[in-house]
Amino acid sequence: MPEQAEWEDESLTRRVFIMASLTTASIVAAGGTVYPLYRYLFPSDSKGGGKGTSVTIPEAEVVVGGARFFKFKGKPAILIRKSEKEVIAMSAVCTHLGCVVKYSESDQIIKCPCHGAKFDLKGKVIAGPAPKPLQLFLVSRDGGKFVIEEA
Amino acid sequence: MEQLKFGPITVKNRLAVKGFNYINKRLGLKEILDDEVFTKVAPTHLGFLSCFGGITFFIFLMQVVTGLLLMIYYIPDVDKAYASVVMITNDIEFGWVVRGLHAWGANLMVITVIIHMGKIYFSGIYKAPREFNWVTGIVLLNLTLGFSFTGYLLPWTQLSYWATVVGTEVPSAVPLVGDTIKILMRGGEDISQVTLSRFFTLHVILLPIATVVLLVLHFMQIRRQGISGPM
Repeated sequence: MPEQAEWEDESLTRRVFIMASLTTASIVAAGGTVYPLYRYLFPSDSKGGGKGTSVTIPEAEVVVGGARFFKFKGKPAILIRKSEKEVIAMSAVCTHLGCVVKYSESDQIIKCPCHGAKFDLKGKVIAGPAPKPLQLFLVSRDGGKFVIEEA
Repeated sequence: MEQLKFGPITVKNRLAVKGFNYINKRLGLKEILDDEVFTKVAPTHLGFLSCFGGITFFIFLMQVVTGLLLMIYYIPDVDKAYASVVMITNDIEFGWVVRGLHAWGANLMVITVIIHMGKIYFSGIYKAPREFNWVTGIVLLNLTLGFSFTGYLLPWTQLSYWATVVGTEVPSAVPLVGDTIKILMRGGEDISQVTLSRFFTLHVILLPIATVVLLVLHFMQIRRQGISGPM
């Protein structure tokens, strides 16, 4: 057995013990304050939904030949009704620099107002600087409503 | 080795010492901290009841923080106010905690103010040379009650609506100017959007500014006159 004096090096002084306890308690208290605060500042729909999110739009809200913008997972998307039956939905965020695209009803294409990218109604790039096609979504009908889901 | 001493606390961490010295060289904080915080000894005759001024100030700070958080989501519109409060309580995560802290803190603050005032009154601390601090204290009491009164209307519930009807009816009993005061408070004959807007403005802008100014005066006088001696 070592002498008592050798053990004393390792033992905690009361001051160190109290300081360590106080530090731990302060960190726990700070965490318990900051975490709720962080969660409070992000409302539940601010980050969009997870996998399996769907958006429903009443058919009456989309005229034949027209388009309607909506939010899909918090990002702009567009629903285009080419005819009574034929409906397509895709992301409305230009793949070039993220502008929101516009639907040109007269020439049946999608145009980006920022740098002139053009897309056809299947999302493919026809002209302009966009590097990738627009992301398409699945559209199904459910009793007078369009249901848009991720493809 | 370089180290810093603050009263009973010794700081040895090199980075902390270096960082503090850098700031201290420019702002001279050490002297202020030594004089005003670390070497200041609280008089031994102070007890539990002497803490209520400080407790009230702490609750006030909490009301400021939780109030700011509530204001992020609250909408001061007669059609939307109640819905926004319901949303804060039910949909926003930890919103019920923030709202609960604000509502209960408001009740608690009135109680601690009254206890603080009772201690000052029954110990005769209001006497010379501290008469002016009693006066600023009375104004602060009224500001606290003003916060309670204006804040109560904001959720726009039946309870808050009728409490405001009654509360604004009270001054109309004053002779001659009573009705004018009532209409000034309501912004019209009835409680309406106008009332909500002016109560909101009072609650989040005017009363907080007035309270901060009065608190500064209150604390400066305590600093100048010191804590009163034992009875």
